Amino acid sequence: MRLPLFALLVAAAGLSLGPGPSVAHAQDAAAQADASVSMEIVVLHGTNDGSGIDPKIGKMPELGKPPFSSYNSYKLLDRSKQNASKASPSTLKLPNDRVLKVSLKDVVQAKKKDEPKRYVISASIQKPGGSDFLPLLEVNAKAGETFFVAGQNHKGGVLVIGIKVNP
Amino acid sequence: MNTKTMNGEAHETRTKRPPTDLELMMYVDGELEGERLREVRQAVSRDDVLRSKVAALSLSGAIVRENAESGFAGIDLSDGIMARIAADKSPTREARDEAPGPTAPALAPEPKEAEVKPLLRPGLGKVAAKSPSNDNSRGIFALAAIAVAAAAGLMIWGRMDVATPGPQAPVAAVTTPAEAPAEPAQAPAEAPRVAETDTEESDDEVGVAVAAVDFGAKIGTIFYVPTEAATSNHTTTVVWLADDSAGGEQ
Repeated sequence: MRLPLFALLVAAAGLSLGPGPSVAHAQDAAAQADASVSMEIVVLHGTNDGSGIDPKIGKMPELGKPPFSSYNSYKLLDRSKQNASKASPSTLKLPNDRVLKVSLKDVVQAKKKDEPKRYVISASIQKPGGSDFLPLLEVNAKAGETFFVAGQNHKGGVLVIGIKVNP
Repeated sequence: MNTKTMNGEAHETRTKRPPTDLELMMYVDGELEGERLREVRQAVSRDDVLRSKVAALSLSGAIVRENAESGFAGIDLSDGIMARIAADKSPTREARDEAPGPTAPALAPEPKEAEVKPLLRPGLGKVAAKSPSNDNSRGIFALAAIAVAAAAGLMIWGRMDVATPGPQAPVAAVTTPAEAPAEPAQAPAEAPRVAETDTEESDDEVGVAVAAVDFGAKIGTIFYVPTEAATSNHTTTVVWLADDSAGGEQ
């Protein structure tokens, strides 16, 4: 009997000290603002032609490590900024005429104050004929983090697509 | 026998008194003396009953005397004891007791000492009888065994923590370089098997978490590539999907 009584007291205190309607409304507005996210998408071409890493790529130490180290040269093919939201996904035509589609699925608020919020992003790659090369990839990323989708053959090398959520 | 004096009457009265059985026994044994001896002798000579008593006492005395002499004639305790002590060379008492003496047949059997047996404490059985009640050695040994077991457990636990691979180890970096073929197109296809098994164990420190993935009919691999120094836990997620040989390149 002590535990239910204690739980009731705690629940009552939580309700009395909890956020009011105005605070909840402000949070909903912030969630609506987070529903749209800006992303930077880079498209690289990895080959073994010995040309090295294109300086335009910038600082990307991952390229010297496996599995990227299977290719000794990387060239920047495209760098673009895309805005994606829950309602309207972002699309990007790749050099191999396939289409990269990126959409924002959700924004997860941080449970702790020190932790940043996370973005649930969905990506897919479609072939020109309509079939899917990559049917679905759903990731949970923080702002500033980059994830890569690679492996498509292109002109004696591979395409490497990097997607970063801008803060 | 009658006298006129008081002393003479009294003396006469005493001589007429018949001898008692004790006096008869003393007479037979020759222990009576003087006047009483003569009076008892006269009384025995005059009375047949007294003579028969004297004859019976003489006979019984002769029988007792004869048996006593024959029964103890061969017993010489002092000589036997001294001979046995002289023959005993064993240092301990138990050894002396066990050693048969040369005159043992001549000695009477000595009574054995009472056999001392330890008393058992009720409920504890023979174990309690073997060890004294103030013996604390078993408790000390038990505590020492527990301490040794705890130390061994801590040591094993510590070694397990050290042996556990840390999340900093790059998944793909460990396996892929050795297996990466010279042909670039086949590199992603070779890597997946090993990388997939390792990524499932070290997903705690990844930067971008893969919530869902559908590779379709193709072979795909998820790599977690370290981006910073070895001390950093930050990794970059790489989804490598092998393209079919003819369809991708244009």
